[in-house]
Amino acid sequence: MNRKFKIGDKVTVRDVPSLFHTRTQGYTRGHTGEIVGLRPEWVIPEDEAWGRYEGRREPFYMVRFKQRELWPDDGGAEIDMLETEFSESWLEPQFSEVPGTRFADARAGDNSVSDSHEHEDAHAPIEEAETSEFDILETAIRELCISKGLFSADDHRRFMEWYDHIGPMGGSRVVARAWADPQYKTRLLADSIAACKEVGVDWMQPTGQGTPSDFTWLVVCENTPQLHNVIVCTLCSCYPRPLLGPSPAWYERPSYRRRIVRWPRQVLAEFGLIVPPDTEVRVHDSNQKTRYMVLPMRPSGTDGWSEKRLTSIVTRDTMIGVAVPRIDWTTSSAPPGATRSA
Amino acid sequence: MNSPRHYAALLDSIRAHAPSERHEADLPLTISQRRTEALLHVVHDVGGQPDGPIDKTQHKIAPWEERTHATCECLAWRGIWVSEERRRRENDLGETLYFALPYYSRWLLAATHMLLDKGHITPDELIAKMEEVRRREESAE
Repeated sequence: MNRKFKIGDKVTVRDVPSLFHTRTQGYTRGHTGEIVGLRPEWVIPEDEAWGRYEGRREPFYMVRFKQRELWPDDGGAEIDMLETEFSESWLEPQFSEVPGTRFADARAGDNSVSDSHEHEDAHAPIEEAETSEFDILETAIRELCISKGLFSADDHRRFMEWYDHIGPMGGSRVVARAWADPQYKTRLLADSIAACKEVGVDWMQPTGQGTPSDFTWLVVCENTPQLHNVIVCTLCSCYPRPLLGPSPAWYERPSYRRRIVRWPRQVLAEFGLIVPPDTEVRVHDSNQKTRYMVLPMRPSGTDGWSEKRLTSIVTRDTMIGVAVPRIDWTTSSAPPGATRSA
Repeated sequence: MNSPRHYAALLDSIRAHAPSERHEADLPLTISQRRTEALLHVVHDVGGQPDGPIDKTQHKIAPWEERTHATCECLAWRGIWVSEERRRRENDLGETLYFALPYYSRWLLAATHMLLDKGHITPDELIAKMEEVRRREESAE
């Protein structure tokens, strides 16, 4: 057995990011102690924990720390000690500089995002997020996946390009065409996926078989004077993404998911939509493979409008069902003082 | 047993302990049936729980979030997992992380744990790669 350290050596416990299971305690990281015992070679717990039962074997050591070194501000007695074990790769020769500062700095940034609940006005603020750790993890994961051939850089690029092409304008075109052409509406309600393709929304993109999360089974729910539809996914945030683009933040947040299935009229009222008492409210909870889109009613005052002009009043929220189209409320402007979520 | 009234009362109990940051749970040795049901309830199954007004704060999707989405989809496209496994792994993060983390970081952590669990990457590789990326980004600044 080749050992790097011997009894009496001063060693410092490595201070590396601890995202994963380890038996090396946080309170020892970056601290220096003295080797007081040798242990055999054992399989390191960081391999055992992830299923590599015959993983790397390393010599283990018993290390003694001064309590005062571990907890300098807690008034411990000078003679008091603590002993605990480490595998060799966790130890390095004693640092001359103050150890651990670099990682401490990296962790200092607070990743929390705004949790304010008081924004409900027409100009809802945009959340500012500091997410540098996730940024780094995302890059690391993607580069490792590509280097190991799990998927290709080109696969990833195709998905990123697809995102640039999806958005609520796809749904707006579908709705405007259905309003303008009754035969199209019949086709849309009978075979929604095929009808989407007629206006350039291809649910089979970007892979040729659709996306793994969105599936390819779409039901369009038609609003009538007797029926108002609204969609939700209580279990995550399933959404007709190829048709409407990424879902709005409020659709992903728990409050909408929790309440719309139980108090739909109250939640709709928070969006400024009062549904008449004799109109049925029907909530569609997309818990399995089906995705839903609401086909809102064409408002009066739009006779003779071109299909293109009609698209301008079909906002994203009208296709989720938390709003209804208004002729003074378009995809690019809201009436003064209107409650609107973008 | 699962009458609507029972379920509504259970939902109140779930909300009383979620997220766990709000409630000190300190390894009790005995626990009531109601609390057991509430704690073992699958995290994502939130429909019907009481909550406050809808927070309509907008979120401009960050580049890492869009790339995370693409990475998770590519992993499914190429047969490494399916989207339902991702959702199960988001639940497995536990209540506190599920509700306290930004939406796409749940996806990212689920993918990370899956790649580790299935042996596609090792923790050492990932830590080394993160350090490499960190150094690269620091030197680019």
